[in-house]
Amino acid sequence: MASEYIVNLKHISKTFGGIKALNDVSLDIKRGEVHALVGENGAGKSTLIKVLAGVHFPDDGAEIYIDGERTVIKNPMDAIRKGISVIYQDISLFPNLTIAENICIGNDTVWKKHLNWAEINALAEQALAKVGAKIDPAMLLKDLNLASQQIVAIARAISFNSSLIIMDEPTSSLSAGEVETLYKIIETLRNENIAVLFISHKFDEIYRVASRVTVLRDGRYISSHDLAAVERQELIRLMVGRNVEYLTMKAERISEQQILKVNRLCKEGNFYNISFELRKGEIVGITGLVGSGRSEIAKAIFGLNIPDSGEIILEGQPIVIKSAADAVKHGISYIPENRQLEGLLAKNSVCQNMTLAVLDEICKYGCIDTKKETAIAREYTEKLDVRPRDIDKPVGQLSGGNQQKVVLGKWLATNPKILIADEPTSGVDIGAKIEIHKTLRQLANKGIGVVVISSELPEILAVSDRILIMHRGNIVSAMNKEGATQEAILAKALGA
Amino acid sequence: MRNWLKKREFVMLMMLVVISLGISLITPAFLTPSNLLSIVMNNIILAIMAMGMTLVVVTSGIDVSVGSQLGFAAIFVGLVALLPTANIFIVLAVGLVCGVLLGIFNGILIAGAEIPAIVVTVGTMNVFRGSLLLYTNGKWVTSLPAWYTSMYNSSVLGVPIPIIIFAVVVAVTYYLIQYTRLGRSVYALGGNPVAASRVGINTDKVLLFVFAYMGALTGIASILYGAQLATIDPNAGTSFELTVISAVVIGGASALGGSGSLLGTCIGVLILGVLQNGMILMRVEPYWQDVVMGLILIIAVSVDVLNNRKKEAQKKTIDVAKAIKGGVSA
Repeated sequence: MASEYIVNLKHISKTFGGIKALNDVSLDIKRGEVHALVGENGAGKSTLIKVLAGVHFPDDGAEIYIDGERTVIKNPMDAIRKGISVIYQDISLFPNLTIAENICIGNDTVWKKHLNWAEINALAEQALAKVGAKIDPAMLLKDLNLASQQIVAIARAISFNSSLIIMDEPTSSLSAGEVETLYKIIETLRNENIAVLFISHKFDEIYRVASRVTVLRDGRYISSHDLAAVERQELIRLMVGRNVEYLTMKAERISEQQILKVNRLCKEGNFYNISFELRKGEIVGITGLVGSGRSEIAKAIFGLNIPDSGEIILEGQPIVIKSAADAVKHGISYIPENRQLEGLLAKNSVCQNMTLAVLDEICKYGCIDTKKETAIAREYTEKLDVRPRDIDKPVGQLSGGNQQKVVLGKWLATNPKILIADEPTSGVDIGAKIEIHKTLRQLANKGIGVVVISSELPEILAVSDRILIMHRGNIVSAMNKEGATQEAILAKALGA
Repeated sequence: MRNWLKKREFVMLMMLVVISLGISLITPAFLTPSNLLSIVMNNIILAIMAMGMTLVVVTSGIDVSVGSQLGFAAIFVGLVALLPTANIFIVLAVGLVCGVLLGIFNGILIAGAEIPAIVVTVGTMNVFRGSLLLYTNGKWVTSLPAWYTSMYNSSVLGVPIPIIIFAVVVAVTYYLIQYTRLGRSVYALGGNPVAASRVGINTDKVLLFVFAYMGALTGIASILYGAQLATIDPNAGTSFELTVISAVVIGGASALGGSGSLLGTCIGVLILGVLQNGMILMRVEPYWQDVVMGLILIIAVSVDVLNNRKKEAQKKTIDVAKAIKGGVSA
């Protein structure tokens, strides 16, 4: 007798470099059900599906049952052979191979030492037919659009006789029509008794396709429910964490003087009709789900993403920003989301990194004035309390929190009027987070207008004076710090 | 099929035809059977090595040591051919083994030690050449026996031996990349290395194979090299790697990996061969030849970049049947 459950996970923990991404998580998926997995950004959803997919190996003590039997998933191919397939957001197949090859690669029944194309194409056609897809399997995958590549990935999962297909935010880049097609395919899968684990931020979708839901928060299992028996508000309440205690710091004095005004900024596919203002000494927080357009706005103000229309007004004067250099000239600084990739030269010293944005000032006749350079670096390592106080140390050897301080220092050296920080505390520990919050508040108190973008709600609540909430490219709500709660913010961000 | 017309190979073929017609209008000597045969015969070595290089480039790798490998293997082939007991089979074996060993040496460093291919092969390019010059003291290998050198100009059933060897190389390579798991894995690795290891492909093994195969074909080419020239300079093949890589890239293999075809590479070799031959017939100053070859390379790649941009906009959508049993109607 087959078990009622196709997959049971118990006591799943996963530690990365001392940080627990998953902490004693369990998940039970019934045969043939569509199960939604929800949680805020960083709740551990991605790590959990990677454990199921065999990409990450869980810490000791984990128990994985497939069809009621205890098992170990050794690697990604092992997961697929045991009936678990994952459709990643970026598809993660082979653009340069044919549709048939993408479906059959690694499938022992046809992927033999010597290939028989008739066999391969037949298996692929059979799998495509099961989802109702009509396409020549000899076409190259790269000639299909993303939604169609996703269908190929699903056909691949079917041809491996998967009993569980995991879909990681499958609708995030699909049009409305394509989403309907996907629903139709999910319906087909359910009729074939194939379970689907559906990861999504969109509540409309979850209520439409899924029958049960599991909530994760901060790497922990919170609860599972029948969707028929749980209200949206309740789900939102469960997703929101309260266990992080940040210091809430009030603004000393917000002047009436407007420093930045953004007026009806639009960029097709990114954000629409964005208007907000920033006053001297104020911290404005922008939050929303990943992909809601938060970072795109920051990049637009900093000249890295040229908007289609709208205006940016700096201290009462409309300005044109066509490049990052323009933005810097106008006193705008930007700390990017990914400091490793965009913000820091990891192999260069603290000193060289800190003076990177002010090279013009420290240069005399094209040569760097090392006295000036060290003076600037010393000044900001002191001010920001960068540890260790060794300005010759390569930045890559500093802790995450101290790296972020170096990025801050780099921009403070330019004496900015406006500082935009995109996820300033991602990947740093709680102590360093509070330090960075304090620094941002000090800067605001000195009269700099600060914009903080964060998907961590407790952080947004702790640092901002005003909170703008984005959903699908629009600012759907603006809240004052007083009266804003995590539940209210998340509800708006989810479009509820 | 209209698809066929859009293929990259077709575009290159048209380019080859246009160049050939242009040259034949200027010099009537170009479009004669004997001249066309000599173009083919003079580029067999390039073509054989370009087959191997196609696979290397498909993995998004590069091998700049093949010029040195060619010289290295050719010298040893020549020295063995001078031995009184030598025969054609021993010579073939020595060329092949020598090439494979040099290729494996590259492959171990690239796949095993995970050093980038460009770094490894720039290093081995110098190591191979340097040790060869040390060993030979810079002396040429000359007075090769006739049984060996005559191979290049003999024919079997009217087909010159070098062309037969090339045909075998093409057939084996085509079978490999079209009908074996290993060959398709080369393309999978080039298309998406992370996904390749996730579907269970041993990417190290595939890389090692590709560089060993490159070496094997260089070894075969080295046998023809000595036979064609009858004397072997220890500097043989210097900077020949650049011609090999140019032919592959002109033939449409992307330096980013994942794409490249044998037909395309053959056309790439012919474009280079025809241009060189044509310019000699037209008595163009030799220095111009380098300029033209370089420009052709840049033009071919620019056309690719533009084409890819266009393609981005015309991606296809899969039609999903309206009525799947129990499905939601859309």
